[in-house]
Amino acid sequence: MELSRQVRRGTLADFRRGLVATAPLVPGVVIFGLLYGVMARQVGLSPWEAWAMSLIVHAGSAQFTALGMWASAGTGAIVLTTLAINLRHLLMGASIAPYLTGLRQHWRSLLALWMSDESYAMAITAYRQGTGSAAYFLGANVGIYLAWPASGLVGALLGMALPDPARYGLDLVFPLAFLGLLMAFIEDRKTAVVAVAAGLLAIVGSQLLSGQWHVLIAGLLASLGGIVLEEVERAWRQR
Amino acid sequence: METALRIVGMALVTFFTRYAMIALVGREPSALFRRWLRYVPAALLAALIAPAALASPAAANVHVRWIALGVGALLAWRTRQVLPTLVGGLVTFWVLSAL
Repeated sequence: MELSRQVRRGTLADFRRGLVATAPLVPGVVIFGLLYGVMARQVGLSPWEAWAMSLIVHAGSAQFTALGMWASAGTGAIVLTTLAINLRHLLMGASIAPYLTGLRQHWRSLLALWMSDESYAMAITAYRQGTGSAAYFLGANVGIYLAWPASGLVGALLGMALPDPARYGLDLVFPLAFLGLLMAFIEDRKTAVVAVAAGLLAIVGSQLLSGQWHVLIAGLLASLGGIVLEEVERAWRQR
Repeated sequence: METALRIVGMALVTFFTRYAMIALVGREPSALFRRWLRYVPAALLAALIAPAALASPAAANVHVRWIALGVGALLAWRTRQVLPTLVGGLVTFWVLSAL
């Protein structure tokens, strides 16, 4: 057990293996990145701002969500929403942390900085199969990182040429992206119930509160409601 | 300035979520916290979408838009992924608009 979990730093070959293994994922990242860049322009970001966000945030779902509320929400609401969307990274980090013990802290922070959903999935799979290493993880991180900001910048530069975005259906991008994101997070009946409750609470809240705070409040209440739901279900079974 | 602040804020909280558990090796988040985390993204995204979905602005080609969103909803439901939903919905809109 201890031996299998002992840290493997890996070699340059492992790094290359991780990098190459991202290739099948790159087209998807690039399409998403291009659309992100185009949409960033539509909400008023400059190409360089759009690029900077991809470079230092490097979180597609959160960036798309932030753009969707860019004009209507304040900085606080946007940062808190980003935090909430990315809370899942805590679970990812917790599951991969045991494999990173023994690495120096600056390596661990670098791996964490670049950890995307895709590269995490690749790295944890490799670790569980016994072929993982820090170098492989780094290679996967770098592969995704090479594709995301670059495609965002290209999209933002192309996006300038669109005088009438609705003609190209770009006003559909956020509703469609949100639909896909939402369904990706609905895992079972309980998460579905929580989502419906959050939607209803937000509709009521938007009539009562100004700004975008109803989103965070409804999200918080409904997600806590999920735990209540679990407890009720457990009590029901034990009845 | 406001934009820079937003981007840096987003970057900081994102890094926090990625690094927190890796920095504190051996410390697991509590069971209750884990259970709560599972519901957060779904609740938040639903809260974000629902009020906006009610306010549908009148556009010239409103039927094409609804069909494209319908195809997107179907793809979202079946694939549970963003990319097929986005691409399928947009391609539907482009094809129907070109007809």
